[in-house]
Amino acid sequence: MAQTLSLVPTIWLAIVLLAVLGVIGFFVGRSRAVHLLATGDGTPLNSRANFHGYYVGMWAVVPVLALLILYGVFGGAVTDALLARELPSGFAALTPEARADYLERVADYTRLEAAPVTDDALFNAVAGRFSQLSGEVKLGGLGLALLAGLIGMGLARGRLHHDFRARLRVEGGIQTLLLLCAGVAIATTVGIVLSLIFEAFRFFGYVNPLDFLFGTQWSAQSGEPKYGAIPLFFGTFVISIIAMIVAVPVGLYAAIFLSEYAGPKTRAWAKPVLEVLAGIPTVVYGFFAVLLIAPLVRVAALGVNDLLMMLPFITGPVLDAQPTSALAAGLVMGVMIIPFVSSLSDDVINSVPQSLRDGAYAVGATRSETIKQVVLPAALPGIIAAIMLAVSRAIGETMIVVMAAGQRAQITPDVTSDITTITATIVALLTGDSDYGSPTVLSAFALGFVLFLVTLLFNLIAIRVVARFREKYD
Amino acid sequence: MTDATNTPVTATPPTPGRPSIREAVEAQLKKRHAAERRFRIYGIAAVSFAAFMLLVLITSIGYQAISAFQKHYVSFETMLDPALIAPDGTDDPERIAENVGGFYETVRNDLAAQFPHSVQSDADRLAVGTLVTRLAVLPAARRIADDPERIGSEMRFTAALNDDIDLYLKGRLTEEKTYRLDRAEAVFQRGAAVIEADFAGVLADVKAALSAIADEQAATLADVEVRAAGLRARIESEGEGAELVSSLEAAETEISELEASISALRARAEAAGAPETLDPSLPSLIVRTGEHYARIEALAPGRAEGRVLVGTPDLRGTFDGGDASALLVMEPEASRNVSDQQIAWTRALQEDGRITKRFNGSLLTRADSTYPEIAGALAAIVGSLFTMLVTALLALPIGVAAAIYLEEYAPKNRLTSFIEININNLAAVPSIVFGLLGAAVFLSFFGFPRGAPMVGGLVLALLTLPTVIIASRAALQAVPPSIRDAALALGASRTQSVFHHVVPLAAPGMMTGAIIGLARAVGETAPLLLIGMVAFVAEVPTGPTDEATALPVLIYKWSTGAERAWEPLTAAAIVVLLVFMIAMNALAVVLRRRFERRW
Repeated sequence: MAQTLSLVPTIWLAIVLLAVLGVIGFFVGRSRAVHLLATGDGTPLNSRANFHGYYVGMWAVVPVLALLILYGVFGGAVTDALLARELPSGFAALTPEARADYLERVADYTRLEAAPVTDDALFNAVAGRFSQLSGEVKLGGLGLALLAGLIGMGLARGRLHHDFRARLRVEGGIQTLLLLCAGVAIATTVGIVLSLIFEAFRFFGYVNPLDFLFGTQWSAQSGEPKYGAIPLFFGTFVISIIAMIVAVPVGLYAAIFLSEYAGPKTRAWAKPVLEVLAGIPTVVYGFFAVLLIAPLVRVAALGVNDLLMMLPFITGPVLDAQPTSALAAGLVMGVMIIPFVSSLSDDVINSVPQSLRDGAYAVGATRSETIKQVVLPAALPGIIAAIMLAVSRAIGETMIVVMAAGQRAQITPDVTSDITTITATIVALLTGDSDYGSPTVLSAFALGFVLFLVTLLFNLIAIRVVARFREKYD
Repeated sequence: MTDATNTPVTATPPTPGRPSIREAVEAQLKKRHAAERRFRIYGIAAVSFAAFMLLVLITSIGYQAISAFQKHYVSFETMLDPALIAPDGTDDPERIAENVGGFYETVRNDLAAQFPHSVQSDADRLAVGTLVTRLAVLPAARRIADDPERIGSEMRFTAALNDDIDLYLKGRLTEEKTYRLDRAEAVFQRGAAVIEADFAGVLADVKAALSAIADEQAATLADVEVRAAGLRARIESEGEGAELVSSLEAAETEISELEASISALRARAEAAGAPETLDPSLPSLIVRTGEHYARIEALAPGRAEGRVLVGTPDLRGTFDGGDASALLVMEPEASRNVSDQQIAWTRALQEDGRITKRFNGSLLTRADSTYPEIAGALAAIVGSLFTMLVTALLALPIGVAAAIYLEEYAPKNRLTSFIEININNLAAVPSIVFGLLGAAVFLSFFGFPRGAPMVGGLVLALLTLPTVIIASRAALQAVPPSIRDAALALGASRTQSVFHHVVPLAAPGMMTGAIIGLARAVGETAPLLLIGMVAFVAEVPTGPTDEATALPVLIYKWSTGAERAWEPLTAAAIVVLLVFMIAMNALAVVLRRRFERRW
């Protein structure tokens, strides 16, 4: 029985347990409230009977949930410990790591429902005992949870009396639940920071941080791995610059045009176009870059090479003209970022008060002069913040560079050669064949940590710039 | 009342050499207006550039996608031999469907029967079978499996053409030129073909092709010469190292070979009207006379000689009135995936009316495969749906609850502003960092199954959470305080006023924000790659804990496929994804229009 129980997914059992106890608690509480009302002195209760039910139900469900979480976190460890005590003495000689590895294999094996029998009789026996033990631990865990729920239910019911402020308690419980949900956001950030720091520091145990940050050779997946990240930083930098060269002028001019010049008919098609550009998934942009833009860049680069070779002092092809290039990825990334720059600048430009514009018109300025000399300077902090947010987006972009920029970590001023970035390297490292825990895979976390810090820095600076330099208009 | 005197305003007499004020101002005004016009044009150019790029993106992907949704099929009307189809006499549908080998034999026999003269040996039979890949008969096999009575009688079915030939028929593999021959006299003897017709135009084009090849070789020659010059310079400066000398010698040999080849080609190209020999490094010429197809090996202005590819080996006849044509395939046979023989067979089948171009829905109904012909996105679509389900179930309740707390209950203290800053920062974190979080915490620490939609949904939920929270907060803020005050004034508690009055009014805004957030999450690829949803998955997942892939990840995987047939498939999968997203966005817009209230 224990063995079959170990195969039933815990989640269904948990849901059933929670539902059953909750419903029972609700009815217990409500009937108690009705009873109190009937046997009371005729004055109504503080809250309606349902709230008494919710109160008892709440106190039935919360202990069950707490114990289920405990089971989820510690159940595996408990089963492993119990199994380890029963293993033959030969296992004591293994290092803790080897033992953990073996136990993990046993666990994986038992998780498959129709697992074939292996040749290793010892393994079979261990696996059988493991599934039995895990079933027993699950039974124990669920039993404890049930017990806790019943105790909670009983205690809560005992608390009910005629003047009990049930609705207040229930609403307090709801408020706590909402607070916990808000806390998930913090938990996410904490989780990101902690996991990145933890894995990055594991990596820095293998590789000197200075070598990592200032080294100029990256060959993480070769026989003699080198982890100098400067080529990756350079690649990210180059592609982001190209993207910004495309996105900032186009986005700014588009925003200015749409907010100052365009009539409603132009806005009617221009705004949806920008919104659609913003909504296209980046993998589609990446495919577009590989399909059309990268070959065009290559053809153009070959043409430039041919032209340059006609000059007397050029002896060979100047440009690299690779099929995947920084220029292709940068151009497409720029197109992707245009709506970002445009919509943020649009908001900022619109928030400049009309009185400033009117004042400029009043002294005879043309519209472009007003914009160039009055509106833009007034909106400048916001526009700089928008540009910084756009740069942050460009730095963190993954799919376009993975598909269109290439895989070579190198430092070169030639934008038509293939180059890789931080994000593309992270993808390559984590989708490769290396074991989790090897320095190769851990370097991805170190890179991710750097990426996270840099984008965080840019975002915070953007917010700060807006806050400090924003003019206060009345 | 004015102090101004009544003297007419005359300009101060102009000093010779200095422009008057009026002229100066007018000149300046012209410049300023010109600057204004330029500025306006820049603005229009910027918006047009964005629109143009969008148009280019959509048309290039759409054009590729259309190609994937249409495929060429060969029709068969043939007898189902029980010895081949159900060799054990079994009635089991599974076994019949699996008997793909038997079906393939049937197809091959049929094709061999169509071309008795070009299919004589076993090697030929294998070759003619390559027109249709083995697995392309699977749909037909399945149909018979459902209706085993039909074994032993005639059946009509179609099978998809080999994807290279499919690309060829769509004109995507090579350029071709067709020439109509008004009158041709053909003599075939033991497989050798002699055709007399006016081949002047063809010959001229062949010469032009020779010229083009010579140009290409000239470019290569220039590169090799540069390389040799570099080697010479190095030898001068570094001395005569053995490696350098041998490389230089190799380069010099290559140079002389190229020079000889180029001059030979140019000589041939310039000798207008001189006969030509067509070897496999040149474009192929296939001449059709009636039902015969012959590959030409020697071409003169009035006569072509070659070998019969399709048709009887012995014949003598005159062909005119459109019954004779020549096909010049520009890509030489040596660098093509489709041979001249296959082209001849395909064209013959086409003339016979056995090839049709039909809508191919297999993209939506079949799971992934290593063969592009039968690969489909079904497993990825189902995987995406499961992932989105998990994301929605997690992100929506938690996000809405968090927004309600922050908006209605949270006191204005440092903890609250810390949470708010946190959420704004999370919204701007690159998505790949969430993938790293998933890999480190969910896969390695908690040990969740790798590549399951459950984990993918979890990671995407964390990614969507800030967007949902921000949108829901905006919706809650839009509800005027008077609603809350009115509820409180009637004795409701804060929770009751929030949940009974404010939230229902803010619900449409929350829903649209959530749908837009989910639409963005559907297209996310990087986090899913990092948590392992990248493996080749050939079975449709049945639940959120089965290993699965998602549509954007499938697009990425297909775009890295080596064969050219993957390109249209990737584009088609992109179209499916975009349709999905447009539907979600349209739903959000409709909801917003119908339910949003302006206060």
